[in-house]
Amino acid sequence: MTAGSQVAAHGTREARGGWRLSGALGVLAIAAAGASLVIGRTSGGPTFGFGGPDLAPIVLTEIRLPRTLLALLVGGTLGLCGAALQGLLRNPLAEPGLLGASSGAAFGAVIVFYFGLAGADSLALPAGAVAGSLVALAALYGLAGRRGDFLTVVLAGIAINAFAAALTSLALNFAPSPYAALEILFWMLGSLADRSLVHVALALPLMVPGWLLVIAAARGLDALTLGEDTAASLGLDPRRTQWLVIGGTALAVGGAVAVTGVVGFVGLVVPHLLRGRVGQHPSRLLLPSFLGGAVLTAVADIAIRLMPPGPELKLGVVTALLGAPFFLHLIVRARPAGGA
Amino acid sequence: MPFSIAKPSSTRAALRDVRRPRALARRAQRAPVAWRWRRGRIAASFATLLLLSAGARGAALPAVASINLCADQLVLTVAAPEQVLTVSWLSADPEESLLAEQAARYPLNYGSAEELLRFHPDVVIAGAYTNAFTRALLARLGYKVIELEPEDSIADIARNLRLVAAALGREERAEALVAELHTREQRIAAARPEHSPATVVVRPGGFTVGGHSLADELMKLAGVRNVAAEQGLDRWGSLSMETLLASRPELIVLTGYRASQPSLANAVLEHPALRLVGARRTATVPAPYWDCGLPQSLDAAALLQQAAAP
Amino acid sequence: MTLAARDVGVTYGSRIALQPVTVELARGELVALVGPNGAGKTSLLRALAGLLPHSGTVAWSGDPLDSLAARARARLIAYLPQTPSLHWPMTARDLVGLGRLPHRAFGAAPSEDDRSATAWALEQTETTAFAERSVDRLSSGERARVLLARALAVRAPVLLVDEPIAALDPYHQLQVMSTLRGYAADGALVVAVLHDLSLVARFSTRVLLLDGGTVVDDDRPERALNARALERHYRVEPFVTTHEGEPLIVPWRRLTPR
Repeated sequence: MTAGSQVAAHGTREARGGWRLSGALGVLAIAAAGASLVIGRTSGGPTFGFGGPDLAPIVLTEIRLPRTLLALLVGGTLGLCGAALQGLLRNPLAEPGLLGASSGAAFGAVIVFYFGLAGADSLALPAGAVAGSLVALAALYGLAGRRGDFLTVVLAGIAINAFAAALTSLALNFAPSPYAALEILFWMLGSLADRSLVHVALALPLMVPGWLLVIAAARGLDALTLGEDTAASLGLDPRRTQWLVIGGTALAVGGAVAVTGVVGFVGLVVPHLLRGRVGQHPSRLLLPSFLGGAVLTAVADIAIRLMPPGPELKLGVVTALLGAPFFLHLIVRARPAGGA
Repeated sequence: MPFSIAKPSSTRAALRDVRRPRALARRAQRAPVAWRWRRGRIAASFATLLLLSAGARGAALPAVASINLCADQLVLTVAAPEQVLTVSWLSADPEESLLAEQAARYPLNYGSAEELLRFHPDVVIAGAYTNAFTRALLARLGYKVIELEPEDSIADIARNLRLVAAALGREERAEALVAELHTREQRIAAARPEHSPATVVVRPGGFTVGGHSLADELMKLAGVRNVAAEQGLDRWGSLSMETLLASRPELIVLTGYRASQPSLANAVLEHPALRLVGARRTATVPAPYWDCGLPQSLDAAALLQQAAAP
Repeated sequence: MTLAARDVGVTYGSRIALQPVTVELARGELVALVGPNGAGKTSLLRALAGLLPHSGTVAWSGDPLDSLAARARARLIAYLPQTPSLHWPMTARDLVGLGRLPHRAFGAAPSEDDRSATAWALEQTETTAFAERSVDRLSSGERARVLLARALAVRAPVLLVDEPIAALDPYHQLQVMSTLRGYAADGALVVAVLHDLSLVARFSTRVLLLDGGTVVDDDRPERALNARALERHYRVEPFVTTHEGEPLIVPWRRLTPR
């Protein structure tokens, strides 16, 4: 085999590998969606089917469908933004939850809730969530983005999470009644239960532009592998990449949190699992992470419905139970990035 | 009236009794013609969901599902037994509910829209702070959802009784209950002791009851002084041990909430200072009496009065 | 075609890192930027690369670089920083392939040109042998060569490199210098910040000697790197000789101030 054809073969082999992964994940996502449409939950525990011909269309279109759609869209958003943030900060520990985007969004939404500016359906709630998310991410980049080393990013994220949590606790402290405080607390634990198509319609106009902004940063993320100077010299301005990722994440995660509360760790786990299979390229990681996040969230939500009878477990709790041990494993195994 | 707390094992037994066929059996007990007619209507127009006033369907009372603890108990008090389709699981727990035994006879729900659909309720009673998403979805699906504001006074109890009764077609029953309520209120007010003892309610976690709350009004009715309210606490809040001691309470009221289960909240009640205060009297008023506003809540006032009597 | 800098100066706050410099660098030249530490070499290089705010203008064939679109500029000038960073452990070949980003549109797959440029760059730096290996499994010298290959893969007419041979063993130092010389001879302009005076003398075609933020000499290597200049600016006494007809300059003794 000549050197040229070797190179050519390698190139096509790689490209095929990347698409194969996305294809496989896509199939998984469709399967998960199918299961999610068919599996429900009543007082007696999990049910399979739609509860009779008179109820079936309603259950399917008004209950199962929005829930399934949101699981895929929110999970996809978290996976995509996690991959993008990891690429931007050159750090495998980055994810919207750890970096304060989710808790910032939650605080923004709580403020709106708390001042009675919104029922669960109005536009004020997502607006508050997006604003909170933007502020948190801008603060993070201001604190840690420039140097971007491991420890600084994690610490900055911890600081911002702590601050957002403190502010949220403050709001809870002054809640008008224990019921209001509980309502906020439970909302923040993250859930897809009883969401309707209204919520899908509320979140999509925020998520889709967010995704587009993040995807536009794909090549910039690849270039950032070599550091900010080299990225700039390759014509991919790191500042532009940074704002695309931050803005896109703020929009998309803000929209997601506004509808579901805080669902963590999906954005951490999924890109991590898939990065080795895409040759470590940040740009190639984006689509598979989206699909992987969708699958993971849909499966977690299905698992919730399969639990024995009782009050429904919160989605954020399940993803935390899965993700926190994984996070610990990462920290134990972590090696310093770079090393040139 | 004894204020015993049912043992936990009975709760489990009660929950084990949940069986969906009961709901179907109950529906069949009602006028069969009306039931079949209603099912035909749903099948014909699934896109628009139902439920309207009892008048439209003739003699049958609206079937009700309740998804909030306080709403559950009001419904169980006001409704005819055959009207009730389901109540929330909390109301079958004696630590939470005064009507646990009664509630346990019905199918229990966990408050999700999909569950409630299957009961085919005519009306759903919820609390103002019940999961907003569930409330919104039920409304979107066309169900009549009544939201009850928490009861902060005896007048609120009457208001909510009437609200629930109106939705259930049981106005007469509500009026009778309200009349009874007022009569009893007057009787208790007349029996107030001469001296109003300084009273502190200590709830798990060091919380207490402030002014403008149902508990506060019941305390006033019974003729005891709510120290926390006098110190300016509004509705609910916490009381530091220091404030508690400085107020020199003569009567300490505990709720005995989940006293058999270890918890940090209950550990507060073991604080030595509390025992040292050596209040002459302590009383136990179980939480379900004043966490929800019911006609039975006046029993709390009666008990306080008893405890306050020299 | 020349890279013309006119009154290019760099200040960091109140500190003047580089006094305004006017110089014209032509294709085919391997220009060495030499001088003691802190003389302003890296500042000048980065200003030429457009990575620093600077006074004055830099133009290529008369067109100011600022007027070019980012991608056009990236295809024109390739830059290798002094301490390049590397964050994701991809294969060497993939890393070198990143150098083709200025040539690839968004979403486009690597073209035939991209693949052959990558292969050529790997050959030039003798890194083809471990092209499929993950870069975190390479030694620092091997990694340095892969990063240089990345800069070469751009195939830009102007190549700016900052201390490209610092981490390399003697074999590879010589190999890289002759690669750079060959790249210049093919019609590119190569500007390199270097410290090894012997290699500068042997391989470069032009030397810019900087000290204290100013260009103190701009001449052919043998004339610029004379003993007096070295004593004055480097404060070392050199040993100068020739070997096989080529100059050999070895810093011999430090000159301590009297």
